[in-house]
Formats: sequence, C-alpha cells, structure tokens
Amino acid sequence: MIYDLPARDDPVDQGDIIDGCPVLRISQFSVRDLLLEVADSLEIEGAFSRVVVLTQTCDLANQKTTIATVALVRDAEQLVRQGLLKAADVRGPIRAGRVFGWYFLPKSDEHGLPESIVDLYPLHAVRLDLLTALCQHGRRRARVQPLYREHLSKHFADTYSRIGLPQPYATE
Amino acid sequence: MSIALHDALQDVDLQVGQTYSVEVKGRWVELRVLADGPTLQTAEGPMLDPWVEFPPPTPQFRLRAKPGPLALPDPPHLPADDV
Repeated sequence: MIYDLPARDDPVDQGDIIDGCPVLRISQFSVRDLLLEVADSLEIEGAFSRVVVLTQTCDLANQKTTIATVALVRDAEQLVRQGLLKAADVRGPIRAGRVFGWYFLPKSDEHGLPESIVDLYPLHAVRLDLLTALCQHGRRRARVQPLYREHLSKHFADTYSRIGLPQPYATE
Repeated sequence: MSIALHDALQDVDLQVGQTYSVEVKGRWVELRVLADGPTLQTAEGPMLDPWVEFPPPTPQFRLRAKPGPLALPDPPHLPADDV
C-alpha cells in the first residue's frame, strides 16, 4: 500500500498529503520600496492548495521545528490538459522518477487522489500548527507510506544536491 | 508511432530481433523490431531536467503586505551530553 490515512489527531508527518494549505507568493513589488525596506507595494497572492509534507520524520517527531517544508501536489491530468506535459511524459520518465524536481504519485480511489505530480521546485514553509489544525479537521487526504515516502525524500534530496556541469567533459 | 508510419510499414517483412537501417530523404533511419511492446521506463535511465515550469495555482486571494518583525528561528536541539 502506497497510502494510508492516519487518525485525525495523529501528528503531522513526512509524506502527509494535506488539502487547503494556504500557499503564498509575492505577485507584485517595487524595487525602490524593497531597497527602502518599505512594504507598501508588496502584494501577495495565494491559493488553498494540496501539499505534501517534506520535512523529515525525525525532525517532526522530536518536535525540533515549528515550521514544515511542503511542496505542491499537482493533478497530472490537469497539467496535461493545460498542455504543460504530455500524457506519455507522465507515464514514462516522470512516473519512473527520472525527472529532477517532479515526483509521481499514483491514483488512489480510496483516498480520492488522482495521478499527481509533486512539484519540488517551489517549496513553501508552513507553520506546523496550521497543518496540524487542517489534519484535525479532516483535510489530511493520505500519508505516503515508508519506502515510497523515503523514495520521495531521496528524489527531493537528489534534486537539490545535484551539480550540473556547464558542459560534459571532453573525450577522445 | 504515427498512423502514417504505421501504414508505411504494414507491408514490410519485419523480423523480430532484427535492426534495419534505411536512408530516407537524406537522413538515416534505424528501425528495431522488438518481441514485446516498448520496455517500461525504469529509474535506471538517464535523469532529465524538467523542461517546463508549472504555473502557480490560480490565486484565490490577494493580500497587502505589512512590515513586521521576523519570527525567531526554532531553537537548535542539542543532546544533553554535548552541553
């Protein structure tokens, strides 16, 4: 089983897929105001989104943090409909875990999850008590289970630890 | 495979396991005949970089920022025997 659904009062853990998490981004700013450290022109937009928790289980279990790192969980079919991906890309390299920064999560009728792609590039830091409140009110869809959870974590680490050379080494 | 290519190969005597090469309009085309369907892509292939940036979710609300103090960082956890 890839997914499980913990009880509502179960603490937030790595691999939790949670709906309705407010995800924010700066949509407008003025360079002048930034340099003056004035917030007048800063505009922030946001959406209540499905996210997956990436913070390591040990940090959450030891209550070492009050902030969790989450990534957006995108509906794969919607990305295909938007023309951003081809269905063959999803079935092929993305599903096989061969694209840095994108992690495929399979469909689960039981948990109401479509085939999804975790976008590991825009990361968000969210208050842990906010995520806990969402879970307590039934917004946790599922939890990615061990092995798959570690597989996701490894993909996350690989995405940020890789070093791309400007060009391949010359060979004769 | 496109329908046109599928149609073009309909009458060709293709033997399983064979690889055929042919020049078409100045370009060399190689055709491998597999016993089964395409092999399933596995994690053993080369890693790829993403070729597109997903747009952010459609905004559902907008906020105006206000200046304020930064939250304090979480205190580091030091094992007792290190203190």
